[in-house]
Amino acid sequence: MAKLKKGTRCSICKAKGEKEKAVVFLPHHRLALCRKHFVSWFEKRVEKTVKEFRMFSKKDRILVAVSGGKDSLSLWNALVNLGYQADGFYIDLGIDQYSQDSKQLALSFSEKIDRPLHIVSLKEELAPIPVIDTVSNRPACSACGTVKRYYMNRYAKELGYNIIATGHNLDDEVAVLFGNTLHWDVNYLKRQYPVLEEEDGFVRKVKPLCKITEKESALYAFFNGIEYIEYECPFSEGASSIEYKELLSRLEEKHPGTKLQFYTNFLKNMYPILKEHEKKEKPKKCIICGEPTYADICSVCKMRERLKKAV
Amino acid sequence: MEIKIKYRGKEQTLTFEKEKITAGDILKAMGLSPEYAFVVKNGEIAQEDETVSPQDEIKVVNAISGG
Ligand SMILES: [Zn+2]
Ligand SMILES: [Zn+2]
Repeated sequence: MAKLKKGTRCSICKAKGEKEKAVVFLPHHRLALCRKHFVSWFEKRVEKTVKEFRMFSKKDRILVAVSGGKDSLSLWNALVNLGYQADGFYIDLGIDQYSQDSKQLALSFSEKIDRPLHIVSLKEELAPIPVIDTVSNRPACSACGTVKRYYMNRYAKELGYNIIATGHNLDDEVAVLFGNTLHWDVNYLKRQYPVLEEEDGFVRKVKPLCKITEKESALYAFFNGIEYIEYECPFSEGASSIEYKELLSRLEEKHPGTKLQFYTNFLKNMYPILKEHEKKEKPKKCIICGEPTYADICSVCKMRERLKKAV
Repeated sequence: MEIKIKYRGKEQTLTFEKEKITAGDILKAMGLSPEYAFVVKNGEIAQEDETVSPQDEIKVVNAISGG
C-alpha cells in the first residue's frame, strides 16, 4: 500500500465538510479513509460482492467457517453487522497449542457478537491432523482442507444451514489463481469462482471476501478490536501460497490494482470459457457415509480406512 | 537504538544504527512490505514516516497467511 502523506484527510469526511484525519490509504481505490469510514467502506464492499455474485439474501441461514484467523472473524463480524443470519462453525483440528489458542479466540468472539459457534472435534470424528498427517500421502494442508470441507458440508445440512461462507480473501484467490495458471491446471481453474452452487448433497459455498485484500481484512479486524490468531499453523510452514503472495505484493507495489484485475478479469473473461467446456459429472453418494463424492468412497472415509489399518 | 516490538504473539528487539526511526524503518528491518504489513504504535496505526521511540508500545502486523 502506497504511503499516506502527512495531514491527509479522509476522502469521505472531506466530502461532508468534516476534517477527520485519514489513517488508511487504499491506492487501488484512490481512497484515504479515517477509521470509521474504512469500516463502513469494508462492509459496503462485502455487501456489494454478496449482491454481485448473488451469494445469499437476508432469508438464508449462513454458516461461517471460523478458524480463529483474521479473515473468518472479520467476515463473520461484517455479515452480522450487515444484518445477515450468520453463525459460526469451528473444527478443532487437534493441532496442539495452535488449535487451543484459535478455538479460544473463536469462542470469545462468538460470545462478543452473541451468535452461536458450533464446534466439532476432529479427534472425536476421525483423528487429529497430526495423526492424519502420518497416514496421508498428501501434504497436511491438503488433507486438512478435505476434512474441513467434508465436516462443514455435513454439519451445515444437519444443523439446517443452506449457505457455507468461507473467509478466503483476494490474496488467497489470487495466489491460488496464479499457481493454477502457472501449472495450467484447468480442472482447478474451472472451479475457481466465488460461488459454488448447491447440488446433490453439496451445500452452496460462497467467498464474500474475494475482493478484500489480506491487509484490508487485518485492518478491519484491528479497527473492530477483533482478537485473532496471528501466528501460523505449524503445518502450513513453507506453503507455496505465501511465496506467491509475497511475489505478487511486489508487483502490486509498483502497479496498484494488479491483483484485483488479475482476479476480476479471470472471472469475467476466462472463467466463462472454461465453464462452457465443463463436462458436468454428477456427484454420487459415498457407499459408506452417504456424503456426496465423485468416487464410490469419499476421501474422508478412505482416510478412516487408512487410519484403521495403521493402528 | 533498540526498539522492542510484538510480532505474531512474540516479543522481539530490533537494533538500529541511527537515532531517528520510523515505522517504515521497522517494516524494512523485518523484511516486510507495507503492501501487506503495518505498524501499530500505542494502539494506533502508524504511517510509514511516523517516528517511533523505545518508549512506544509497538506491534507489527503481517497480514499474509498461508493455506
Ligand atoms: Zn472519514
Ligand atoms: Zn464417506
